Amino acid sequence: MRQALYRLLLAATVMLWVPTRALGQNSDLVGSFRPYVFVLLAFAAGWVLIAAWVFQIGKKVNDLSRRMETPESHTASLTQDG
Amino acid sequence: MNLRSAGKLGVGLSLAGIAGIVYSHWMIFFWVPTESTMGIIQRINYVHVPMAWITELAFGLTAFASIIYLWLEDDRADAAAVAAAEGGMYFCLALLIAGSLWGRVAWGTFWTWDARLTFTLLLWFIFAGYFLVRRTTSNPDRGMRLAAVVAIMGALDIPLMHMSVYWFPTLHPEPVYLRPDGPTADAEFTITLIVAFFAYTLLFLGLLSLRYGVEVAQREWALRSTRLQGATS
Repeated sequence: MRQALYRLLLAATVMLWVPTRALGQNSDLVGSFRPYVFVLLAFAAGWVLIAAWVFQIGKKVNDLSRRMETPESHTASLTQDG
Repeated sequence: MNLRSAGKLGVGLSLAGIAGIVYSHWMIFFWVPTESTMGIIQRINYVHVPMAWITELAFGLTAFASIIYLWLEDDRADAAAVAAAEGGMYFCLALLIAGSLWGRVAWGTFWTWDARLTFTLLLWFIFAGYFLVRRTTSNPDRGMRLAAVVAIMGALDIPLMHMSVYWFPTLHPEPVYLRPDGPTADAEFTITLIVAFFAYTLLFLGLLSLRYGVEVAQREWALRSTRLQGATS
């Protein structure tokens, strides 16, 4: 599942290629470069935040898998904490 | 729903959402015409408006799951509430940033204390409080119940945020698409927005499913560890 999450993240990064490529193709966009930078930033901000959530979920999956692999050490740490 | 089935459903929905977003990006940057009044900057709406809808959906789901949790005391409802609230925090922040960038070009400022903007920021802070209450209450069960109350109270801000453009009209424009008398925009703009709406919603539901699966698995594991600890001591 961790691998699947990283694939999702990669796919998300590839996505910003579309608006960047459009800059060379769509004459409307080339004519107003400064506002287009704001458009790109808005889309990028959305993707960065979605990627941050994906990373957070991935980290939780990692932690859980690690704990499941070593049940004794987890129990021992719980006993020490308590 | 266990971690494996939640994972399968989540990855499937997320991939469908990503495919939809790639298609919507093609529509936004190659197909849809540039709007005559606002120009290029209007394209921010295709990310801003879906983020607004998902923010309302996520925090609405949090409140609904919190009601179920308080009513039935089912731990899975609290797990669903946490998962939805976490997603809502990210999407709400994306909504605020996209709106600020649009405002910088359209209004000449990143931020103004307009009613819609203020209620949205307030919503983000209320749900930041939701997580704060959970983490700072010494008794976890009490923390979960208090957080559920915060979520239900916080969700009361959603209709205020949604209707503020009618009730307190200042700078933020009124809806163009979600109007009782139908959208006032041309078909190309509406179709592009609908595609973006569905794509982002699928992605959100996919990630929500993954997050819910992880939350439930974490709790089951913690419970099992506590039982094991009790048996060994």
